[in-house]
Amino acid sequence: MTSMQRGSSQRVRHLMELLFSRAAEDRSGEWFTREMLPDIGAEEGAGHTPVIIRRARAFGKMLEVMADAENSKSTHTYDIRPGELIVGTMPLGSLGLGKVFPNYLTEREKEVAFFSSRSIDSVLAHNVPDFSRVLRGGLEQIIDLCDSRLESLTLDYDYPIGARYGMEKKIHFYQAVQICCQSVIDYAEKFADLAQARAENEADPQRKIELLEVARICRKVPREAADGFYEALHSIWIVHLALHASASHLSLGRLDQLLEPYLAKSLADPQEYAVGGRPFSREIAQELFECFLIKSAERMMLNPTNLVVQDHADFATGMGANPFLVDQEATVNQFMQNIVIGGLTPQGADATNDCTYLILDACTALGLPTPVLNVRLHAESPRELFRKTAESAVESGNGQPIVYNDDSIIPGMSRNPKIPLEEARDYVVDGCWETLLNAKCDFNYNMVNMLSVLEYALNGGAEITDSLMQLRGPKKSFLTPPASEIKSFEQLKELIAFHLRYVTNKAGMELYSHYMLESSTTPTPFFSALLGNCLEKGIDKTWGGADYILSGMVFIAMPNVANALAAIQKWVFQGEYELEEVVAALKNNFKDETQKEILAKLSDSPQFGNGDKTADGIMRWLMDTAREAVVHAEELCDQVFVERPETEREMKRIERLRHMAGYAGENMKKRYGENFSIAFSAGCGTFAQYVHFGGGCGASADGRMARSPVASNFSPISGTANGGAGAVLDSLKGLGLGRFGLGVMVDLCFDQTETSPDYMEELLRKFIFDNGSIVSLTVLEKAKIIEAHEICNLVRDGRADSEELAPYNHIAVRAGGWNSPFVALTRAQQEDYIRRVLPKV
Amino acid sequence: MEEIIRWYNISWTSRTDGPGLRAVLFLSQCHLRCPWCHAPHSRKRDGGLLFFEDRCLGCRACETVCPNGVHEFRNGVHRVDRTACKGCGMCLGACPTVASRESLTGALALPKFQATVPELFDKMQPQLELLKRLGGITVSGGEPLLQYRAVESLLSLCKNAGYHTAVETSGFVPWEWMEPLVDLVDCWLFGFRPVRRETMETPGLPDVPMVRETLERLASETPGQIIIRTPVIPGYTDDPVIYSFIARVMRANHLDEIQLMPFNPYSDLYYRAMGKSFPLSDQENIPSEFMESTRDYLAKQGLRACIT
Repeated sequence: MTSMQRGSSQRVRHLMELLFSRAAEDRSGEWFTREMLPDIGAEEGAGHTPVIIRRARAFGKMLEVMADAENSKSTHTYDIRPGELIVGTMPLGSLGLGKVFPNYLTEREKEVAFFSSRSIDSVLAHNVPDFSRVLRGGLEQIIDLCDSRLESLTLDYDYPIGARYGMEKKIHFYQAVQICCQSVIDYAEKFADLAQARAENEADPQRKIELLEVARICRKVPREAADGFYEALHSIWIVHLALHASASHLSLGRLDQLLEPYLAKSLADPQEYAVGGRPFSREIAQELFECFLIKSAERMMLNPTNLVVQDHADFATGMGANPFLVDQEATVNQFMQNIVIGGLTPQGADATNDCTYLILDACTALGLPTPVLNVRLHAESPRELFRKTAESAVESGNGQPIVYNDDSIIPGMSRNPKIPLEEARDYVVDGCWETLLNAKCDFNYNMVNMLSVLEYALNGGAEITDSLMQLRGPKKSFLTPPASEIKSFEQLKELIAFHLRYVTNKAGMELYSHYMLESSTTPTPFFSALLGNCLEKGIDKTWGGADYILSGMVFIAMPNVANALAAIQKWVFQGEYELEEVVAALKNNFKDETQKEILAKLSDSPQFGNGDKTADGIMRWLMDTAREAVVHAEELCDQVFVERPETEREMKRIERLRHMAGYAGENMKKRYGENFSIAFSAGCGTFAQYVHFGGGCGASADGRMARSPVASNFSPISGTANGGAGAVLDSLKGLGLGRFGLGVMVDLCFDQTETSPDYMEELLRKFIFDNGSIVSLTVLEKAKIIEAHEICNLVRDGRADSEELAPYNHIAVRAGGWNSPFVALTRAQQEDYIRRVLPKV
Repeated sequence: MEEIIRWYNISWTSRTDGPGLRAVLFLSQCHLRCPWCHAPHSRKRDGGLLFFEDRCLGCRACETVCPNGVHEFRNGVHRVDRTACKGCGMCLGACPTVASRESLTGALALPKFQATVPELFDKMQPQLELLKRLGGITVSGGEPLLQYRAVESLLSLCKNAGYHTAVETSGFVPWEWMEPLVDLVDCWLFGFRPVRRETMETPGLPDVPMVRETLERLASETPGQIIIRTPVIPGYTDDPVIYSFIARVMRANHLDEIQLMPFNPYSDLYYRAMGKSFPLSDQENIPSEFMESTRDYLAKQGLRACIT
């Protein structure tokens, strides 16, 4: 099915056609230019205004320039397209190829922030806002709450300086929230004006009614509480868009849970909730939802040649303590939008409802790469949900849905005593597949490359590299015995555990240090107003306002390491080679003749993903060790940053430790409030960066050449799983995945000719019942993918016109952490994907 | 029970080899030499080294590790001397496109695997569990009945585990090989392919009267289902007379299901990988009208006929 034929109504099919034809065009002219944006940081006296106020003004300005008719001549952000029922347009630079947002830092601040690798684009990320607050009371209610708080918060200069400072911050927070809420209301109003004006000139009486209704809704929500499905959906859209356009990373969350009461109410009174004069029905609800999906995907870009000219990514457009670019290629076409459906309620009942199926049907019907549909399943999920999820995997053609096992994720999360079971049951997904608490937690993550850890263990604490500029390799961890002194497999495992502990501790402390920097440059007043009790407390989430702070610790390249260890066990400790010979071969990237022989032998070893006892047993050990390291790192960080010992003597000891960790300040509870403590949650995967992470590693004993990609997520390495999907699931079964609250992600890819909804359903059942964690299911036509890749190469080299890609534009694939139209993947990503799906013949 | 079983490929999900979705085990060796065969590497116990030229990166790692000088690069062209190959697999291990010995997606492959029957069963079981309610296992080939004892052991294990079983055979085997399987096979995919008079003498084709005899015996003794499979090959089986003969034989034996398998002139992948040429590569495709009229004719004879 091509994009043109998709959609449940004629209107939706037209909008789809428009979406895809725009996406294929050169959209580089649609970006906001610096001239369109004010420079708030350059204003007179900016350095004396709190950053949070400046940020709120930048937020407001961004929405203002987006709804500006003059700008829209090039940006097309203030427009209503024929047939649209959901209005408001995200700018191209909200997330993906760089962010475009008004500067609010002074020149001096930028100079200093550069030291800590921060800019206005550096966002501690991954949250789901509390849309229900907006749906229930509207933004007006938030403004009123701020008003009443501000009235009671008159600054009293008799207060001691510390208390005064705290109070001042609260005042600034409430002022900033008010500025933001008003800006969002104004933005919606501008669209009401536009809809009204369009209605006046509209000849078609039916469309006229629709436009007048859009105008009415935009004047009402998100200012006021929403009534009925259409208003609720529109309210969510405007709030999502406002956050997305203002450099926030966020997800749509559990839309089925949010929207169900509104859907039920509209269905119960079809006349009262008529849409464009048509009595409300399930068909209309699906059409509205499809319009919503198309709106969310409006930034899609399909032409690979146009991506480079649109690279607007700035310095430090990343996340984490060591910023790296997650933005660019990772989010060009997904923009980290996730919808979560199904699963359990906080009380533990099955949460599936009518709206679950409505969303599933709409997402399947359109098959767009974004937003990504995430289905939560558990052993007691309705059969119909299993069935429809399976059908969706086969029919949608976009590498979706992603399936989460509640029976594994929830126990994994709530294993951490800092996370109550009810909150774990309400988990959501943001970013790639990170699981986090719904609407009340601040989330960040850090990653530990297990392949690097193996390098340290094999090479005395140094990386393995074939660079001629190095003696032994860059020293990244403590000096440990060289390979020649490692005499047993057990000794090697101990060394891995040793280095892993240091590296994981460091990753944990980085998460704290990042948290400490966050509030300085990128407070987020609007998001905070919609996150847990930040608003009640008067504390921005970056100042510790969120009810929970969750940090994911993600282990990369586990399948590579398991296979490498299986190979070393077989060919070194039970075989003919010395470990130093093998390490020398790795350092030389197997270049010499004898080393090629070593490579040939190493490659003939047990491999993870085949239900093989040896390889799976090694993986189990790796998983145990990784989890222990996370538990240890959390204890260590708690002690250094959070705990308040009873004796002064002990306190001094802790303070010395804290100083050594690079932070000489006060205890975090004192700084951020009594609730403050970061809960660590472990997971395994790579997100989208499996090509990158491999790019930084030397050759490995699993037969991987230097700088080659590592396995995508926790999936068996391409071409090594030779027992069908059944054997992959068998390998997962004994790993105790229920200990990993963040999730252990496996990507499975199937040829359309070799699968069926029945098969997908069986597979999902086995996955859920055998305690799998997270799985992505991609069903595609392998032959088409290969064709598309060849044409993409021609287009990139200027030897073919991009129009030749049109027949392939609708194919979207899952690439580690995100879904993308295949044609818009980078060359390296495409090649890696092809290797994964080569015809089996 | 500890028979060795030899295979050259396993397809873990197939919709075209028996009822439902099935794992298909392709056993090594075939005593026939049908010119339309698209799996020439299945003929001998050891099908030899396969080289898929368009997947080669030209890194010459294979040349370096091969102890027998099989791989040679001359003017950037990768030449493979298959006669010198002893099947040690060193080149596969060194080749960056080959992820594992069993993978068929790299530039090189040695599709020659063996294990004891219980080992193979353990290997297949996770996937068979997944397919339990959707289909089952199909043992194909080569001619799988050349390993009839091992097949018997494997299918016993499968039946005990409750899997639906199918065997695909040319039928050109002594009844004694088939007999032990009669109660273990739920579905026979029986290759019945009488050819035109003028190509009847082609060496390597099965003897049709003998196949017919086996079919009749099987039809009278098996409690299972029999599906006749006939490839429609230009110059061989593209004559309406053949289908009236097939229909007659089927009706006489109370058989009612037949699958017509279309000829594919591009099925030369493995010939090229073996350094051979596909004998029928110059043949035109069978017109779809012929396929359809044949199917309709068979349907009129009261048979369930389909084109796979």
